[in-house]
Amino acid sequence: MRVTSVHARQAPISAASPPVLEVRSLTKRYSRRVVLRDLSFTLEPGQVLGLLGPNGAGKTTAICALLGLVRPDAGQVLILGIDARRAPQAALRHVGALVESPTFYPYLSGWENLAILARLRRVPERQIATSLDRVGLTQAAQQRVGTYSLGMRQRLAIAAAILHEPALLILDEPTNGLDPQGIVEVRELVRSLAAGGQTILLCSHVLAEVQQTCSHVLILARGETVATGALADLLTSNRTFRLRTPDRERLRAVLQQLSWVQVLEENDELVRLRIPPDRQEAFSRLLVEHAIPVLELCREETTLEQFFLAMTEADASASGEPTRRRSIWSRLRG
Amino acid sequence: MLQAVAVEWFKLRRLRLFRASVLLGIALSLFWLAFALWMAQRGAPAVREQFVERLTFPGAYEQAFSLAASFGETFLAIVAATFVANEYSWGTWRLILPTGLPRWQALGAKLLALLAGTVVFVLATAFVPLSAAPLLAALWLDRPALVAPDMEEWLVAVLLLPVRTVGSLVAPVVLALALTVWTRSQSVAVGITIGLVLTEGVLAALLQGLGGWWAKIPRFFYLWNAEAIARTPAFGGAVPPGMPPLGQAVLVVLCWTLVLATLTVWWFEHRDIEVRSSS
Repeated sequence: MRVTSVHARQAPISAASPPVLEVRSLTKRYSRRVVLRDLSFTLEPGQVLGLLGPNGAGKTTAICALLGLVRPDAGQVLILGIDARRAPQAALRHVGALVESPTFYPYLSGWENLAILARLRRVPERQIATSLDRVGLTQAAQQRVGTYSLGMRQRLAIAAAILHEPALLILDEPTNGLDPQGIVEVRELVRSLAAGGQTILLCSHVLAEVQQTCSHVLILARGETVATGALADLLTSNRTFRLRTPDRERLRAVLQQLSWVQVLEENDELVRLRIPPDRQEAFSRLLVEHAIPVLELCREETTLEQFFLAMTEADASASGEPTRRRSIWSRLRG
Repeated sequence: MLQAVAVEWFKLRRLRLFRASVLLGIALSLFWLAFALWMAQRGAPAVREQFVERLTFPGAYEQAFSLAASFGETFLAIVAATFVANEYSWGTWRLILPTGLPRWQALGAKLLALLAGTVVFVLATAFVPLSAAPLLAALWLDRPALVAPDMEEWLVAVLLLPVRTVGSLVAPVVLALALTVWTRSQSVAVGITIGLVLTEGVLAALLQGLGGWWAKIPRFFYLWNAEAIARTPAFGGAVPPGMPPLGQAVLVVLCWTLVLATLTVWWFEHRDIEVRSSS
């Protein structure tokens, strides 16, 4: 697959331009079961949002609701300020999407499948060649899709999503079914799109991939938002420290006075702490002031995977807030 | 909407099942032609005369469209159900609908493409016996291809018969399409449609035999009235016993078609498109 620097066609952005995607209080029920509860988020131009969650969290339902495939019971979806429910044609013109596994007409060729979309989206046919070239399917363009491998279908689905150079690209598991080389190529493609200013909503179970690609994340668990924000902020704000000291009593006395330090774990000489980013300097100064001998003080990096597991598993087992907090931090330790 | 219709027509004419149906319609027409020719030469005199009538104008014209209507009821119901059911089984609604195409347009375009397909099926199936019958009659039966032509009298009938045939096939197509959207199952839609095609006539005859108000019930049968549109003699002659008059049949079919189409669009507009989650 050829990866080129892609500059997505963006809607003209002015100071007052609306967000590319604005979701307000989106709720979906299937009879009594709430699969999506009060989902709200905003996607500004150029942002790459990772929509994460365990199986059955409501990710695909959320995406389907954005694309008008599922009728939400409440809430609003605005695409570049256009209400997607009231004016679906005008709103969805700016969206390209790959939802779950790729779906095409198997008796038509790759080119013909894209030609159908090009006609419905009123895109000139020359765009088909460009899209197929971008995903490396030019050679197989005239083959029937029924003969394609899953990886080829996945690429064709990406070509279909970027065919009309949309302002918003929704990719649900874009590397599903791809071989390792294909995964790398699609990842590079997504990154190059993001680097070109393309606004992307990326849904993936490969958290390392999300961490490398996304600027923001939103984590869903059982239909509810459990964490959302800039990826760097989320990981930084949950950073933990490991402190090793032979004088545990003196340290304990100091910590009792500090309400902003959270003790996560204590054993022998080792203490694990959570310190707010703006108090970290003050904390090290206090250690010096109280002459606490420090054998080791190091910052532990939290990966997105750890953060995700902490958030989602805590949500699953939570019966009350204190238990939930313990569970989160016990997961972060790992 | 025009773009959507063009897309649906493209998809339909590339569908193997549709092509196979047209070819099968032509093949069955040829088979009938061979059978009629054989009967016209070897049958009893009365039977022979009947088949000769069907192989020469105007009988051949009526016979050709009658064959198209008979085969079309089943074949086009299967094609219509498959054409819609494929969108569910392949999951391609989620390829088409996220383009912003309104759902009523997506369904309307499908129906219009299927109607275009019906026209193609009828013309292709009727063309073979229509073109071959007079020639065969002249060569084998030593009969003039055109018996007592009276074009002025026939003109309206000649023009109306293809329209009536296509009109009669709208009913099984709309019914199969509606049932597929409601049930999302090709087999259920095909089963019910063909079941009704086969049983409505029998049921109508049974109810008419009971007399009284029972006999009035078949007036509202959808496919039976549709069949009457095709079967009403084109070049004069008596309406088959029990068949509703043409005007009534057209009205009933029109009403049913509008009700079914409206309900189906409403249903489709308000239902979620399921996505099988692999995650």
